[in-house]
Amino acid sequence: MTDLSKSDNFFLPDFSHIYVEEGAENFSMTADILKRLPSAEAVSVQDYKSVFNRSGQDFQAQKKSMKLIIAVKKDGFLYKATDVVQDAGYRNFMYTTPILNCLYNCRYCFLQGMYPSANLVVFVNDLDFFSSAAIAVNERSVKDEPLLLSVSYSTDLLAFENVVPWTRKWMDFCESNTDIVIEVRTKSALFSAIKDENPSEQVLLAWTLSPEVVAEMYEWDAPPIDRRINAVQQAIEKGWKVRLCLDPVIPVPGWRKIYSDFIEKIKKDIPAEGIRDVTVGTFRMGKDFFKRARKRMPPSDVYYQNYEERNGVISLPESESAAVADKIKGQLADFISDDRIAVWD
Amino acid sequence: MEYKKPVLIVTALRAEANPLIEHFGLQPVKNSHVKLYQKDSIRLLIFGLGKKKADASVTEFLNIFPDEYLLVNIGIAGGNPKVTDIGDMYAVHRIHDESSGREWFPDMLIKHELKEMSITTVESAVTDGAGSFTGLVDMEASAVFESTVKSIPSHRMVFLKIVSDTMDELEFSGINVPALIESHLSEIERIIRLYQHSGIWNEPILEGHELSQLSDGINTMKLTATQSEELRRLAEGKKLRSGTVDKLWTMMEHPPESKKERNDRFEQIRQFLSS
Ligand code: SF4
Repeated sequence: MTDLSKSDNFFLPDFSHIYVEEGAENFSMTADILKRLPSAEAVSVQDYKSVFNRSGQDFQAQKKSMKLIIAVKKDGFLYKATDVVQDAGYRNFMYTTPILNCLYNCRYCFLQGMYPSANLVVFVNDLDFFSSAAIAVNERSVKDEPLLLSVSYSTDLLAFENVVPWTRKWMDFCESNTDIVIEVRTKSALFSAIKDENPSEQVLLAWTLSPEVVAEMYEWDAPPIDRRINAVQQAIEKGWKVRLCLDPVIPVPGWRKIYSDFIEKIKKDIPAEGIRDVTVGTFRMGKDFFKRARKRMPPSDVYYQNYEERNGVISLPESESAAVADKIKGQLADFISDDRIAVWD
Repeated sequence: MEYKKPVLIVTALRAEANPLIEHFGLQPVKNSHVKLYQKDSIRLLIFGLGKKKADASVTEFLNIFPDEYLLVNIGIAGGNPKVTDIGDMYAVHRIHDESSGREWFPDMLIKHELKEMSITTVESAVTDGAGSFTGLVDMEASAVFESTVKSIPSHRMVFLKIVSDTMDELEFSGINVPALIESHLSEIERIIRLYQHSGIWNEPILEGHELSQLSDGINTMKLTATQSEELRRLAEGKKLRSGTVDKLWTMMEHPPESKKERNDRFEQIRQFLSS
């Protein structure tokens, strides 16, 4: 199968073009981004949706040379979490989308079924996001618990920190609002971009880790697993208590041994006292996203397993999911207490 | 030169098309309703001046000759003299339709190494200078984009515009359209070749001979539309997981004698492909 990639050199580098929505040029974040990417061709557009939502786009082709779209979000700054996102025990749980789409292209990622485009949209009106978050905190239903806000739901926010420092901005927001906890879920090795920030109970740095063979097959353009583990180690050394996400666990042939060896590696490389909790889950995706993602033909077997549909979500049969979770939990038992392992079911 | 993937060149004017027809050795296609020239996998369509003709002609062509084209719209355009030079060729990264206000964006994925510019498509020729037009101006790009985007994805569209004038009526009689195109033929050929080799065509999971064997099997087995669709999906999955679907063909060699037999055998095929 011919599938020439960026390395074949026919493709322009990522962010060779930046589409700037009219009105976005007035925000300081826009000037910062343009300064960080000085050789990009800036194209002015009336409405970011005319670039991002247009018909005739090919997600996987665009992934070979992603573009940046800078825009102003008009409404819908925070959303109630969906069934496929883990709340890990928080009852006030929302997510936000300061960036749409991701630098990486994990084969199992729901984004390829969610958005018509692989280009990244960065919203630059940060203050509107923060005032909406402040309102959501005040209006949260369970007042004696903080609001958990997933800020990396539609992207890998930390991976993009050197271009757009959105993670740092959310961290600063937490300092002025003590009733919020943000989850920054990442596969990046870019802890260095926030290393001077003080560890905070309000910021859940969460690394998704997978065995090398799984990462190579399904997360091939995310940093290799050793670099992710190294980032976790750096964070713990700085005093952070991190969340580890074994999610999705993919039952590839021989998965019991593969994951068993991998968990032993985690136990060896990552000090247990630096871990806040662990989340475990198997592949799952909303039915419509799944259909669209499969249609876009990523050459991946992840879309061709014996899944079941339950309540509009495509996932492994319950018994298989449970077997995976039991196996992972069992093996973590001597490393982290059961109440700090959250399983998506 | 050899072109493996289908290329569709569209021009508004015969004067734009003639140098291309000669350069690529294209021959007229007889008995077609549209002005069409062809050699091997390159086709050239002349659609006439203006948005309406572009829309009608390109739409009709794609209905009659659908394919996985690389679309290349080549033509002359007016250019704002502050940012463009007469005789230069630009790749278009934004198309703005003046009358509808809509915007269109060919994906800029490939290292084409040309200068880039926005273009505004207008209803009638601009004759009194660039005025508020900040880049290029033509009379068809938006219609070409709009009428092709349902069939051709935007990453396989290239709009190449050569500046012929600064939108001043006095210049128009001196424009030598064929000469403008001729001076860029090698660049145009380079761009087409570049796209041809770039890997922007999606390769299907099942190869051509597998798809035709699958289709033969579906006919032999008299599968329903739903079964056929499921079979294709399962076969793709099997190919991805195990690299081959060769055993499938023997399972579909003989026609079933009843609906029940068909369904039973389909169930066996399902189990095989899911394993
Ligand atoms: S890192 Fe997360 S958001 Fe990014 S592609 Fe992978 S799964 Fe999707």
